[in-house]
Amino acid sequence: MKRFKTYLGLTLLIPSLTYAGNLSSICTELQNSPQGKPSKSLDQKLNDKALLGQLRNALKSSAEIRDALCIVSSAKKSELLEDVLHIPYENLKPEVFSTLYALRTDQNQSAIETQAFNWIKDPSSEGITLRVVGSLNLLAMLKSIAKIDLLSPLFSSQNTDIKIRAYEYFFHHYSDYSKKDRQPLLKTALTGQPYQLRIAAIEHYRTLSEDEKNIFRAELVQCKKDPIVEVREECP
Amino acid sequence: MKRRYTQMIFFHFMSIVGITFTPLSWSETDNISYSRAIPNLLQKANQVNQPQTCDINPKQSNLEKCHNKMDKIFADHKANIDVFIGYNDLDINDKSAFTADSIMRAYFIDKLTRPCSKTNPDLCDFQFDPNDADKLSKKLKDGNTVEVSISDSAVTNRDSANKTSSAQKVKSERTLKKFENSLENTEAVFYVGHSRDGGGPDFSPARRAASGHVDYNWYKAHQPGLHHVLESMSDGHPDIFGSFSCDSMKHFAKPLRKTNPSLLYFGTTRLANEAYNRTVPKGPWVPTEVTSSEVIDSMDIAITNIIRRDCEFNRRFKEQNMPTVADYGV
Repeated sequence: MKRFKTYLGLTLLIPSLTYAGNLSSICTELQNSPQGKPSKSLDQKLNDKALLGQLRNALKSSAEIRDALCIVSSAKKSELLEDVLHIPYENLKPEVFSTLYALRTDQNQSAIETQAFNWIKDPSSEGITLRVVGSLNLLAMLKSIAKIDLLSPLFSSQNTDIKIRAYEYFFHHYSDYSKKDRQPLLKTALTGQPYQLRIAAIEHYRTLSEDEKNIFRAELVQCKKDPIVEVREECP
Repeated sequence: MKRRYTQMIFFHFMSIVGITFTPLSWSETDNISYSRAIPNLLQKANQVNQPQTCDINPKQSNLEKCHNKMDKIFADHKANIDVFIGYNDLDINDKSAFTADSIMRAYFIDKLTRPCSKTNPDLCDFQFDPNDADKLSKKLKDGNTVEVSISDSAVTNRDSANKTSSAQKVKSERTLKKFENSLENTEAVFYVGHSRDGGGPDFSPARRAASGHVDYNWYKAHQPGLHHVLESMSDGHPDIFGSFSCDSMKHFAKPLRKTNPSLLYFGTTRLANEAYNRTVPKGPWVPTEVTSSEVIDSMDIAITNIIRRDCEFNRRFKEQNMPTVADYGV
């Protein structure tokens, strides 16, 4: 019985010890390996079936999540996409965005987009700025187009940071929106609050075709009389 | 040998009568005469018996200096704190992949705007300024106002796109100019970002060597960020500066002290992968409190203490296990 207990103890202990050091060392090895040329031994480790289970556990248990994300994104372990998608956003920070971005394929892009859209829409948890801004970042990286009806509440948000970031996203994809959708929004932005929005709108205005610029002539009349110096300096 | 016995009896006696102190080491006492050692020890014991109103290893002058700064900061009933988020490019496999500015900014804004609670009565309930997206303010119970301004550096989250973007150039220049202006005119200025091995603060995409690595040799040789800081600083301006970036105590404390001797300076004592917290909250996935970044959390402590006019910065940093220290200046 005693021998059995010792055996059982060792059986449980050894894998956990291996697990504890493994992911961190693989991540370090990956980070130190020249781009696209993992060594044979590293390749072997990455293809080890047991590693997938370890990564899955690490993504849930949190203790080694960053090392796990590092491996998932570097080795493009797309079979772990679902696990990454289910990590609560607040704890993700840049690493998870990078990971999702690294895992994107034509097949799974819509799953990643859906998650980003859900993150924008869900107002229930704390950390709303982080959630919305992070989601817009992810969408921008994926070059997705957020629908106007999804962005609309953000344009009138009391949180001026969210408001600005939403408009920045909109400007970034301006030409992908219909004239009917985009022109009234730019008009609002050119005369809107806060002043950083007016600057961003003027900067975007400069990129428009001469035809489209003419539509906003009335809004730009006020620019040179703007109470904020930084805005006046940006006037076309 | 006889001296050592006498000293040991002395320490024993002092501990019996309830006086505790940090004794001089044997090597220290060996080098001084016995007649000098006793008064020194008594002096030390007396110092420790003074009521502790100051920081860890308190110096009354530090406390006084700090409180004078606090009075100055709140003299017009409004404390201005300018926060600058540097260009935070994060490398994956030695390749710059992601710029974390907007995430760090959002994380910090969420901290400022969360509702106040018993456990967090100070850094909370800040309101957005509808006219200025970079400003948040809060009216304190004593009638004073704290205004925090936040500026960041990256135009998008993709470092590769930013590097070739004219908009990035404009934004980097704009943030740098604002930073210099703050150092000249604002009481408290904080930087959160890369130290670039002594070449920071930096508001632009990293300069890289042919290998793709950040060109630390160049940053070390030229120290562009530090030059900007030193050119804008003068004695007493600003009153407080914090560089919440890798090993910033080692990189910046000395030159800053030379230019601005009375500066209350906050710096970190560790390298990047430690300063940017790599530990994630333990336990089940209940994201009640995010510990995203020790550098931002250190800055939170500094701002909270300013709001409280509490000068025990080092005690707070230590309590929260932050790699940050306050240097109170001369």
